[in-house]
Amino acid sequence: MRVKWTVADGIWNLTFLLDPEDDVTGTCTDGARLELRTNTCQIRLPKDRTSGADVHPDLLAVAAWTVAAPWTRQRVTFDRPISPALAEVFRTHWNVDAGPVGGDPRSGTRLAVSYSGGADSMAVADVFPDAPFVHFQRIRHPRVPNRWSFYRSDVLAGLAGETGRDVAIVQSDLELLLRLPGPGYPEHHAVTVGALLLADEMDLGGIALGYELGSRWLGGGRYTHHFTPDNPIWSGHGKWGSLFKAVGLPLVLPVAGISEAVTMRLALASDLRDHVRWCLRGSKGGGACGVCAKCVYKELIQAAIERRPLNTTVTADMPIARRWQEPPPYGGQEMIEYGVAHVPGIEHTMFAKAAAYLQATEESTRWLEHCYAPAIDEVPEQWRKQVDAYMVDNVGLMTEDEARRVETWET
Amino acid sequence: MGLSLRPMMRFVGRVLVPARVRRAFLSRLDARYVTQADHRQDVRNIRDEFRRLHRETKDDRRDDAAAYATKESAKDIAKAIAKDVVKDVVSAAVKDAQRENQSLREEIVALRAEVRALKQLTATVNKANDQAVKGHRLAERTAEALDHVLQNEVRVWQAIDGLSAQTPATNL
Ligand SMILES: [Zn+2]
Repeated sequence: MRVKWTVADGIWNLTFLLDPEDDVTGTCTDGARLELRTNTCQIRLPKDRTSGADVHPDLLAVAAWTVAAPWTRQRVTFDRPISPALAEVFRTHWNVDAGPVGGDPRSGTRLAVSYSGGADSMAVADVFPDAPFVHFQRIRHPRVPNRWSFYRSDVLAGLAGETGRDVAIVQSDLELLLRLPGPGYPEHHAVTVGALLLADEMDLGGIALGYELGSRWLGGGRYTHHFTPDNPIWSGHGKWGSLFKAVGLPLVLPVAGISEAVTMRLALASDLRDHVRWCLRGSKGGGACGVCAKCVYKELIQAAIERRPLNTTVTADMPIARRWQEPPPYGGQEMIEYGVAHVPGIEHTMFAKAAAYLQATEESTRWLEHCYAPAIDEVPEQWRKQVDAYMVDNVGLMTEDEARRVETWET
Repeated sequence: MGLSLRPMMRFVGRVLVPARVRRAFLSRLDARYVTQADHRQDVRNIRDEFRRLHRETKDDRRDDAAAYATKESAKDIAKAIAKDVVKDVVSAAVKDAQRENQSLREEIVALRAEVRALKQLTATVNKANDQAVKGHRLAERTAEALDHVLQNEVRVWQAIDGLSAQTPATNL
């Protein structure tokens, strides 16, 4: 893989060229099969934040890697030398020969929040009330006809801008690089390209993300569905965690010890709650769409923490609800368990079958209301104390028995 | 005067004598069939009576006619009034009905126009839909084709680079 950056007026253009052994098919770190559409993308930094071409090569290298990794088989050649420490991580954690090598590593001091506007990143924002936000906004790709106009990334960017926080909105078309399974981050870490390219300008020494208990420790979503202390995507010592550490922008997961029930509770209690939005399809005034799988899943969680019946128009016979008519495992299963255990009248909803399969109770899901302490230990030292204090004050730590529920999780 | 009863009766019968006069005349007539002299006297009496009655009747008739005329004219007036009233009522009702009819008619016209417009819209939408579906499919196919073009471009560059790496002397 050969990577080339050009920049003009705060717009960074990335082109990558495949080596003979590379391929347009590949695998995301979460195991998903991917197919490449095209090999160019752009990242637009806010006009008032750009420091011209003066971005540390290590940051540019990792930013490029978040879109180039799935297609790369053996080696990556950057257009400017990377620090030996970074090259070493490529070698040891990726088995990839990266170069050219030269120059010094970088470092920074401040923490920024990778803020999407959803409940999880809003909870992170609540833990760090003074941290600036970097918001990723999808824009269309000049070479790809837009078949996804129902995605309203502009609405989310608008909501982020209304939070009153220091927000850098970074626009990129990099999600359109993916032909299959559809537009999305080639690697989950591509969401941080803005923070990487702004790290020098903003003096960033860490990037906080809203990945919660399920994503970090339970192999949730597309991952393994069992306890994953060595999660290659989000663990501090994994292949990605090590890369970010090497470029002076370690991954910080302040809410990795708590479930989505708790991040939701914290978000809805925070002063940003009016700006929360977890769905890309809603309009500006109209709120979330309410009928996509994400909306239904989040409604289950919200109804559970508010101990009220499910408020939805979706019924069991609708395609969107099909997944919950089948036996487990489910994506985000711990939250389905929590939801069916706490929502009154669940037997009259699309989750009736799931509730019958799971047989979850308030007692059996109580561990999901507390914080898994090892997640706090994984936060880099300079921000750990703040996370620890926040979790102790606002959530409470898991007992040993509860922590064992995390460590024996298997769906 | 050769006035026989029959023509008189006919007369009486023919003329519309008020019922009260006719009854009095007939009852006297029945009682007179007794003697010749009586008869004559009776006839005289009857004649007088008749004359009187006739006069009376004439008067009556005049009165009656007047009354009748009055009645008739009253009737006519009433009729006329009634007619007018009815006419008014009817015409009002008719007008109402006409108005209602008109508004209904207008409504129907409007509805028809609406239906026509809707039909047209449906047709347009259907046509547009067809075109949109076709357009969408076309766009999808175009986009897919373009995806392949883009992907092939990546592959072509990969191949060119591979070739140039193998033959460093050639400047591709
Ligand atoms: Zn939605």
